[in-house]
Amino acid sequence: MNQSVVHASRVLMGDSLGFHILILMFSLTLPILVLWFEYLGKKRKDDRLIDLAKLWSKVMTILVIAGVMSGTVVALQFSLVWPGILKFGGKVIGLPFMFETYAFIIEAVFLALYMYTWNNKKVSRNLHMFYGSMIILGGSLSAYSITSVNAWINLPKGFDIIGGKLSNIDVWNAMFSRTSVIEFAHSMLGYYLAAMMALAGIYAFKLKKEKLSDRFNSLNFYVIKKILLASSIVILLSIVTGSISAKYLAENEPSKLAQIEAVTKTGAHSSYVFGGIINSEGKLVGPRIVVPNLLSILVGESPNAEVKGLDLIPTNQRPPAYVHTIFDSKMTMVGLFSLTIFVYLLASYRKIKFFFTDTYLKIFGIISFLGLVIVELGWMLTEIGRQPWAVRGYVTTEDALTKSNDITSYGYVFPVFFVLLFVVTYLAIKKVTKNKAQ
Amino acid sequence: MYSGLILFLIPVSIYIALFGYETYLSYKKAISKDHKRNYVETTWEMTHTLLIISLVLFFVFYSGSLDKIAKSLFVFAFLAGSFLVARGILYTYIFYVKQNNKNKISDWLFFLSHVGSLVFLALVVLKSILFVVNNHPESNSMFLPYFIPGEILTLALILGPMYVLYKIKD
Repeated sequence: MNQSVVHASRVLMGDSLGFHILILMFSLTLPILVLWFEYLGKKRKDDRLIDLAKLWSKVMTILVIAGVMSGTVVALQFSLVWPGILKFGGKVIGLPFMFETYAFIIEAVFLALYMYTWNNKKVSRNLHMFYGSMIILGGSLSAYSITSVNAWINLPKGFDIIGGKLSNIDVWNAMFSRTSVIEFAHSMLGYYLAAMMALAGIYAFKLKKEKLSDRFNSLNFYVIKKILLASSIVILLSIVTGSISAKYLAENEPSKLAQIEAVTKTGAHSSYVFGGIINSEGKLVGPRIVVPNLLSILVGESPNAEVKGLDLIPTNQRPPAYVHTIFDSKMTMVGLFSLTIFVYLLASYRKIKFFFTDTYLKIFGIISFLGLVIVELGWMLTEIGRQPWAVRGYVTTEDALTKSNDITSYGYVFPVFFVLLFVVTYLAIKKVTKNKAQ
Repeated sequence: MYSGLILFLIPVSIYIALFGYETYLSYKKAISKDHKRNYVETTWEMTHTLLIISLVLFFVFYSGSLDKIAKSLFVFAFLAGSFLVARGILYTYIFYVKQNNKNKISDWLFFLSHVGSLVFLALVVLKSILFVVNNHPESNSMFLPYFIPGEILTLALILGPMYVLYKIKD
């Protein structure tokens, strides 16, 4: 296989997914925030909160345009660039693809209804909020369906291979496996957290423009405070799902865990390693911090728990060594991000002025956007960590690839489109929010 | 074998018909001198779901031959995809960013992106039909009990609101 074709295909898929996930995080989170603030507005009889919900819903609509585009491109690529995945598993995993489109229709129909009935006096506030809740339902079902496909390629289930052919196919087992539930829960919480905090970051910059003495009475402060409260709950849940994910990886995807955590040798008392990198001889080199026993405790709840290392994985079946560096970068950001959330939650409830001065609000605003990077890094770990497999244990990435050589031309063209789409989406959101402010 | 093709052709035909209407509207917008929007609202929220359903259904139904289908459709499908993304970019620019109706270049590009999308989508559909007729690919008929009611329900859900929304322009 020509490596430039493989490279172009991976660039294409990586860029498309990277962009789509960015949009997706907001598309899944904004409906919840919109509905929440509409509810708060109704409960407190505060039109400012209703207006805010309306404004966010307009942003949501612009993001739908970008999301539909990138989603169509991703669907095309998944089928046409990597036909080997569905060729192997279409009979097992075809159903979630259809369910995803049905769920998307629920989301789309109710989004249209929700948007066009904001000012319709015949539609009560409760009915309007019902439309909004159906957007959330549709979006979540759609996300579950497509995440179950990803979970399946990470750990294929729901079939046997007899005589070289797929037999005893159980589509429900494939779609509702434990892997799917874990991956869905962890990724959804990540999306909520990242998008909510990015919004809090935007409002921190807006708050910075106000007089220091007025800041605690401002609507922008109220938004930040509410988002911080929700984020702190979500982050606690994320810790739980993250811990379950680590245990799941140790049990089911040992090569991914071994490379991510730089575990060179199988055994108990496995250390948590921060820094360093595994060289071509399979040895851990470079500056690093080592915490003895911690990895065994994290994945097996005991220092005596055995963790499988790279010594059990054939060299040609190991993911690239740099996933460990990606993981370290992710965890550093997770630490900083989490700390900021809890510090600012406390600061906002105690109204500690020091944290709301210009400099610290600016720092808070910047750190708030880290969640988006963390989610992107998380998906990179999932996908690169599965290499060299497209469907773990059955189809390699090279075998899944299209036989068409035209991919090289398109591989480098589509990212340009995505940059343009990103710029125009940003400008559109900026204009919609600016018009509202005026 | 042909049931998958029929299920694919129903939503994709409706999509192409509606898209053809939008292409006509984009032409009218390009030649018009007034400042009105003159375009339908519903396109991204609902119309586009028909295209996504059609594609997914076709690929899943004939997944056993997807490598051959991919090779056969690759160029046209990617060109259609490129024009559709270009249309998405121009749509956002024209209806959400652009300040006035003075610059007609974007309107004409918008119209051309419609034409390009329409032509290549039609070619994709044509090649898909020819592929199924000539190659008799194995189909995943086990999913039919889910696909058929799903498609009926989908169309029932969409068509009513879509009719109303297509009547509203500007």
